Amino acid sequence: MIGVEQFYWAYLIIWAGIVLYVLYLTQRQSKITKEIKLLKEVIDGGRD
Amino acid sequence: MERRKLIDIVLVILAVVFVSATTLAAFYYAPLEPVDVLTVVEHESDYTGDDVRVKGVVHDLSGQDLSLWDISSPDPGITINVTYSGEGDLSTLASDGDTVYVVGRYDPDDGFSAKEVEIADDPDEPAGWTSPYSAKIFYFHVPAAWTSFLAFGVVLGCSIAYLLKGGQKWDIWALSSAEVGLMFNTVAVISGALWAKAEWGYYWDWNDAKLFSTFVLWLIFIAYVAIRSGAVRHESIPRVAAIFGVLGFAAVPISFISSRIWTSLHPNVVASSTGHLSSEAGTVLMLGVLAFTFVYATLFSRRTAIERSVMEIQDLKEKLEEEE
Repeated sequence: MIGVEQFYWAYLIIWAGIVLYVLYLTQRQSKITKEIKLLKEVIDGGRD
Repeated sequence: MERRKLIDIVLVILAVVFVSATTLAAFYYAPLEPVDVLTVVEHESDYTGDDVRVKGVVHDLSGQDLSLWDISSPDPGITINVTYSGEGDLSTLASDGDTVYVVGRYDPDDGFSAKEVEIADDPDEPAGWTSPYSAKIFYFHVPAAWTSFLAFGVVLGCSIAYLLKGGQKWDIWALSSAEVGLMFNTVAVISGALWAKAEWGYYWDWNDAKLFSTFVLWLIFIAYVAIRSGAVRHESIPRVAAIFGVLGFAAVPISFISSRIWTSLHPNVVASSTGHLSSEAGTVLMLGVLAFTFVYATLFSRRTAIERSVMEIQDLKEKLEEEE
């Protein structure tokens, strides 16, 4: 059937793109959360 | 449970459910050819009513009847019988293997009744929808494009709100929506290029109005996201970005109507008088639109959460400097 290959590639690329973006967001959130934790520790440590 | 977390969980569940439903429907339920291609390739008419022009390859010619295969309609890749009732002898007009246009009326019960038969000048010229399986890309490509338009619409709304009222919330929403919208736009462009390869034989055509205007739209929002990437830090950046977001949105309606007013092979099957979807295709398309909208809402929520955290970091740093 004509176009089967293109359909599977398109399907794969669409969801790969979305999953990669989700991974990017997750990685960014985790980095920011660590930074917030560190800053809070520094602030609390300074007070002590 | 915190309200925001609850909304996130509901959105993720809805996104997963609708994405799964769309995938199953696109693979197993949707028809191979979602569009009544006669109306796409030819003039605006209902193919069971007015005369239409169909391109096909003569498969078998005998007497005043012929069979066409690899036709552009109503189902590409199948054979239909054509009864010729026009002037002259059909055998002098066409031969087996010729790529021809036939003009006449199509009736699902009686078949195609042709009044004219003419040899196609360029047999390689795309006849329209010739790759039935690749047409399933439609169920993901169109929702991705529509979701990107929705996202850029949110950028427009939030940018206007920011310019009128100010407030960090609008700026964060505009930035988040632009980034997520850009991702969907990229997905739509790549899936569209793959579909174009299957249907038209090439990935891209710079002279095609739809493709070119979509590329411009893509560049505009790449520029928007680049401005906001943090490479340039200035207090006027949110305001500049808001103005850019409002002006940049102009590319959305241009991209949408481009194939209707300029030269483009891109079909107009949605919100168009020339394209008709079967009810099955329409159902799967709606599922896809809902699925992508929920995915957008989920990603938008995650992206705004990141931006709020970035603001929190800035507040903490200021606090630290004050304490020092």
